[in-house]
Amino acid sequence: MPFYGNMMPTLKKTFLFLNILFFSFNFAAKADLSQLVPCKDSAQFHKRLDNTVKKLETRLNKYDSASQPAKNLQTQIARTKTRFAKYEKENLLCGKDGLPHLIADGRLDHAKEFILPGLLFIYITGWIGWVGRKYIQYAATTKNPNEKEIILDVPYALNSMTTGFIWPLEAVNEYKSGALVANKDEISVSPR
Amino acid sequence: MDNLLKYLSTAPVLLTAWMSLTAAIIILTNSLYPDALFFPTLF
Repeated sequence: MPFYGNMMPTLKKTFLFLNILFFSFNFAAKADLSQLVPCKDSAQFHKRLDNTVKKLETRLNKYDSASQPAKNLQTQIARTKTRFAKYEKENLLCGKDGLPHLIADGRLDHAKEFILPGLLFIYITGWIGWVGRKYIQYAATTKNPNEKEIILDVPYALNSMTTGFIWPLEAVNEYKSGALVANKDEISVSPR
Repeated sequence: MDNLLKYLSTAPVLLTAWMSLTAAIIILTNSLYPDALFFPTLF
């Protein structure tokens, strides 16, 4: 069954891809948030703010108000207030400890707490990895690949680093043209 | 001059420069935008 045999890898890949999509979006376990309240309604959160500011003010009273330590403490108090105000304004959820808890279970109304930073992380690490891969592939085409990895070709490296921001597009293109993954006959398998 | 450029292009030297640059970027970001607990969004 040559036709079916040729279709199998593509079918398998598509099935795997769909599975990953399905399980990452539909069946992602949603955490129970009933223990958490919005920080602006949390008594412990406000208590924590008051305590932090009070502690800093006690320290502040020990210094002459024109001195440098006093100025530093005043900045610290202002920053503490800004920080708590920001957590309140952004509808973070606080626990019984009065601290904001980030929701990392994939729900979109809390995307800025985990999904967006996570995607940014994947984008940046992907950028670094993509450029590194490109450089190693380039080094392999030169006459002395080992040396090219120890004494780098800085102009080429800088050029690929600065153009590497479009790596997701390049990766899709390479996947379509078949250059992203190695051919099956280039992959060594154990004897069976 | 050629030898100096070659020295500056070696992996350990470039790694040191790159990591110093990364550290500086992270330190500056944290100093200009402190307490980044979540991703800043406009909506």
